Amino acid sequence: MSTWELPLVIFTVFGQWAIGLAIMLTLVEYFSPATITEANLKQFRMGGMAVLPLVAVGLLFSIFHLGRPFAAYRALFNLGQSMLSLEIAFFLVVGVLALIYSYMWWKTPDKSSRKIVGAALSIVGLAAIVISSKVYALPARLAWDSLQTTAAFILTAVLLGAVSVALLLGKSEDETSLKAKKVFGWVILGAVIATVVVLALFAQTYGASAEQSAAVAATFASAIFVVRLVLGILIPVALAGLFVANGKSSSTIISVALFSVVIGELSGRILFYSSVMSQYPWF
Amino acid sequence: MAKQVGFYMNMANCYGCQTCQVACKSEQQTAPAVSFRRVRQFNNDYPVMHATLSMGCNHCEKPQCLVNCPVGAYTKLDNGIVYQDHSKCIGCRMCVMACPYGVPQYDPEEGKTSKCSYCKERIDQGLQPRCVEACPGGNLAAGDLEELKAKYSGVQEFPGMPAAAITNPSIIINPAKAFKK
Amino acid sequence: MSNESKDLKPATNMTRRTFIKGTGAVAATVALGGVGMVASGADVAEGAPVDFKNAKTFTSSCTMECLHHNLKGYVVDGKLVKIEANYPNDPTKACLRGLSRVQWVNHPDRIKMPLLRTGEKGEGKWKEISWDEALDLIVTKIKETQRELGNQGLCYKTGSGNFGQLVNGVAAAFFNYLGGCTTLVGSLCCQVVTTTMPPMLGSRYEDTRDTIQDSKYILVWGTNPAVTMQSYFYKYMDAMSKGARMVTIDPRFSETAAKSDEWVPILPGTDAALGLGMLKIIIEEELYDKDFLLKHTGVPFLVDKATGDQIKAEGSETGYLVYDEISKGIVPHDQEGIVPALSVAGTDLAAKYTTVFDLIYNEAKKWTPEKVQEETHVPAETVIRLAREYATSKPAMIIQNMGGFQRTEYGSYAVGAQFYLAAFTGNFGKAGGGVCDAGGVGTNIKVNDAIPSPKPQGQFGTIPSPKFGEYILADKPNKIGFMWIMTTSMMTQYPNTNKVKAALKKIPFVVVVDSLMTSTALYADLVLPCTTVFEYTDLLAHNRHHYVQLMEKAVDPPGQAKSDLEIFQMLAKRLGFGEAFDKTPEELIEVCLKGTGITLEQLKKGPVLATPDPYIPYKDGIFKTPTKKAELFVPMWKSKGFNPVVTYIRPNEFIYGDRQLAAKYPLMAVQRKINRTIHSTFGTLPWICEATGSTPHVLIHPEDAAARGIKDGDRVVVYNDRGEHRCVADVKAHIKKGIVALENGWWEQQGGSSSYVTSDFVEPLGGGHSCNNTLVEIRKEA
Ligand code: SF4
Ligand code: SF4
Ligand code: SF4
Repeated sequence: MSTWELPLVIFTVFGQWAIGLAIMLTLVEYFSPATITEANLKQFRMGGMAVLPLVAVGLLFSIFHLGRPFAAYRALFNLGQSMLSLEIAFFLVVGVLALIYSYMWWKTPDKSSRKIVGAALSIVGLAAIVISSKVYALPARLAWDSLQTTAAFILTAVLLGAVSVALLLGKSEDETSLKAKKVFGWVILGAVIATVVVLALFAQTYGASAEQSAAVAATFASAIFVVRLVLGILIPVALAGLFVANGKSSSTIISVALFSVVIGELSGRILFYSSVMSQYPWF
Repeated sequence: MAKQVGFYMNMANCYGCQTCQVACKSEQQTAPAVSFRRVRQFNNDYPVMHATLSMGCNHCEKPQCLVNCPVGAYTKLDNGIVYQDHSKCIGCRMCVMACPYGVPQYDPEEGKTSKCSYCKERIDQGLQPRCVEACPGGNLAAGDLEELKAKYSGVQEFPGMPAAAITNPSIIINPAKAFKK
Repeated sequence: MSNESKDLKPATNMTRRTFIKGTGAVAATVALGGVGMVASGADVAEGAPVDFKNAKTFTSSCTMECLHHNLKGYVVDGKLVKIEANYPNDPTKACLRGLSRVQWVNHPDRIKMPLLRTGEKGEGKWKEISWDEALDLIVTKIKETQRELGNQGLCYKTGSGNFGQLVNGVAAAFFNYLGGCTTLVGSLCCQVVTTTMPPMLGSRYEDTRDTIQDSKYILVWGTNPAVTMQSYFYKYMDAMSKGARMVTIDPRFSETAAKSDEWVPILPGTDAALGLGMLKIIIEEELYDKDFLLKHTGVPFLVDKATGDQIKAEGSETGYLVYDEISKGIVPHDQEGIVPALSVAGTDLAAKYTTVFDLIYNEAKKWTPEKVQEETHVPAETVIRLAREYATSKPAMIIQNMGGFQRTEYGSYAVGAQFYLAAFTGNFGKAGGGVCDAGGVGTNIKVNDAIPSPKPQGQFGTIPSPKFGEYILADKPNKIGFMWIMTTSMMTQYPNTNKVKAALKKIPFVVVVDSLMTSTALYADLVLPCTTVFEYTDLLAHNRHHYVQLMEKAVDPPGQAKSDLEIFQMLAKRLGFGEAFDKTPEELIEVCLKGTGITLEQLKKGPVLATPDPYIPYKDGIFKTPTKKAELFVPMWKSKGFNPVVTYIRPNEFIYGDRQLAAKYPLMAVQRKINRTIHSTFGTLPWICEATGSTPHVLIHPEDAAARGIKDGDRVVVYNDRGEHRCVADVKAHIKKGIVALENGWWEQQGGSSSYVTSDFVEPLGGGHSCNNTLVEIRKEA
């Protein structure tokens, strides 16, 4: 448990979820505005308003990670050098944009001008995720220091965002909604496949160094990995299957699916940290 | 080249008594969870591989702790000591993750991380680092890295150790028999 | 210490950051098990580090049975804040334990007042009483015992926890002033060295540490100097860097073996067989130093075949007779111009006489390399090679240092075998040669008792130390009503600890003097709080260091803790012993130093070297026996019904010994010393626990572990008919298969001592302790 780094897990997963959601909403607004029908608007509004609390939860937990939470502001003091400083700075901007974005969804749900804010949030958010992954690009920690980390972080955002929007569309049976659902089905499927590829790449690094092998072994031998596999990967596949097959989908099923994906992603992130941190003191 | 202090560690002769570790604790009055210098054991099923290595901070040329610390608590002093301004630490453990050698140590009670200062206060008084002074076997030496290099031969890394290229640690290790290439 | 009676104050040993939490760490690191320590909830303190610059410094010593390093203590505002080795005034440096004494002095769990038991023994329930009450009670109990059981009902035990001149000797004087008492005999540590070395070589505590670096071949035999002679270990490395070969004989791949050129694992208790096997080769290949044997040893002495005794010229104590090859006659060994015969085998004399050499060879002859291999598991080729290497690489040194090999069933013979090897190869008396024992100033100067002791009045029986429990339970040699225990912790050190525990419960009144609630103090009726190093003045001039040291008082003890001397002085006053005890420590130190040429004034400036440097024991082959020769025939052994020359007797508690027992308990256990304690001293200090761990381990070979379904880190129970020892399995090939290594010194509060299972057999030749011939089985804790 002590190596699970739960505050960091929640910070990164929730932050990525918020950004992923904003990205997906923004994409819908730009490329398929027709999906947001009169009937769907209520759902989408809820989604838009959810972005802020997700970011807020993430940011709050990032502070809990600190031994000295009240001195958190000082984390911005080494912007020139420290990726962590930069990450915090970006997430603060994400926070501000999320505030505006969710506020606009709340107060003026029918104004489309908010999609500009959404676009800004998506771009800054994506950058924040990339930077976030770079925090772990530590030459001393081979298991983290690779593009797989960046890929995994982005995939978390995509998966959570896509499943969330799917949930918003849950009950809509109109033409455009069905089309959109189909697209999201493919996105989820793609994200799942990409996640598997990333994991496989990671598994392949077994043997690169003692530390790396230990991290790989710790990941795949863990009971948490089973959780991640079933909840984080298999359930979304099933869900995507449903969509793609264009069958009827109840929002209960998608709710369960979203819950599963969240748990799956959280456990994936726990493994990300613990497989490395449990080796401390290294060497 | 800028001045750089360093350590010489005669692993070949170190018998793992841990006096250096406790002397450091005593001098630096560190918390129970924190030892700035630790003696690691190398053990596996082959007894001949048994060895002990004593390590404090290596006051690296390219300190990973320093570049990753979000509050800028670390500075490289004129004499090459990588010094942490403890009052700045917010306990984010970035340095703990970044240091290849596991040098910075987090104290959950205090909520802060700290590390070996090369006994800066003692150096300022013209004394030796306490660990070096305490080793009953004379297996540690401290001083200007160039001078140490002239006096002792050794390596910066041996199989199983982190790659020296990451930080260029200011350390010369005379490896134990089993780790000699 | 129960919560109700003991008010633990937070440590005031302030520190930067959260060091103060150390108090909690003690509690966290000891398994409480209903007894022992209670965490005190000290607050986290953030502050400046102690400024050592303005500290006052004092010197004292690390006084228990170790190397007696001189220590420098730093005092700020009346508190001891740091201890360093007093280098270079003492050229050897203290280890982690010596430095950790600062935590002992400032330990939050120090006993501050006399504690009277209120619960069952061992329960840890106490009430504080005043010194007046405590002393009155003691006097009453002493008198009561004297009335009911006579002085025979009194008993005391001092140990190796403090070698100060004003400690154990004062206890001896005190009990003799009382009229004498029943005593325990035989040190658990090195009894058989003490009984073997003086008759053979004429003295004990002769250490060769000054010339280790000059050796060409170092045979570390059943001892682990990397831990037990740690501050001299660099000399071994020096020797090796100059080309010496180092070989370690040990069932365990020890810290020393790790630094050696070769590790020779051996079955415990079989060392004499290996020694004799080596000797056979040395004799048969004529690798021995004949000149040395003839000039400096008693091997040419004639032995009367009828009586089996060495023969002497009439009326002479030292005039052993030899056969002179020149005059072809029997002459005193010290007659000028003779050439004594090593052997008389094949001569006319053989009908009536033999020589010590012949006796020795007869014993050695039996040990062919193959037979040695069978008995000891040292491969035959190795035996041959070791013999040749040892005999031909000169100077060669054997490191004995009171090692574990002699805590075996016939340990005397193992010790003797090493002396034979050194004598036969002429290695004694040379720089880089000899046999290294513990040693120190006592060997070279005579330090007086602080308080001269009167002769005990009457006949008193004795109790062999390993049998303490059994004797007390059986009222042997008589019932004990009052027991005084100081400077030792019987509950961690004495074998067959369940019996020791029962014995302590049985004795009606047990006083334990200590500074912390030790495993033994738990079983006391009355615990008296005593001082520790840096809290009292004393003189250290014993057999562990080459320096005489003044131990200065640097700080006041906590609460009402008193030095052992003060405690006896207070009692002496009550009992009306008069002037003898009524002196200041300084006055007593002057008494001790009288005639040594060393003065108190000198000592105030620093430790004084009191041994020639370099010290070479038996220099030039001059031994300290009456004949000035190494007398390799030990009449004392013969008088006890044993072979007077070294032979091998197979231990009973051994896989090839009692087969039935071995079938039930197939693992041979040895007990090792670890770097965290000296016996049990230091065992609960937080730094020690943090650096070295706080749970006992048992080292077990991977194959033995696998056969029992035990994995590294599993909690296991080591057991036999005597008891159980709970610990954690350390599964590594760092030990010979079939043998397990227990750790010495774990406190009751940490899970208990490994001596719960160790053998209490009394070595019959010298009265030694044979914990290293112990059979056990191990199971995973359910
Ligand atoms: S004090 Fe010296 S010999 Fe002991 S562990 Fe440290 S470096 Fe090794
Ligand atoms: S230099 Fe000082 S702070 Fe660093 S390890 Fe040695 S004693 Fe500790
Ligand atoms: S425990 Fe022994 S080695 Fe350590 S300081 Fe004390 S006397 Fe010296």
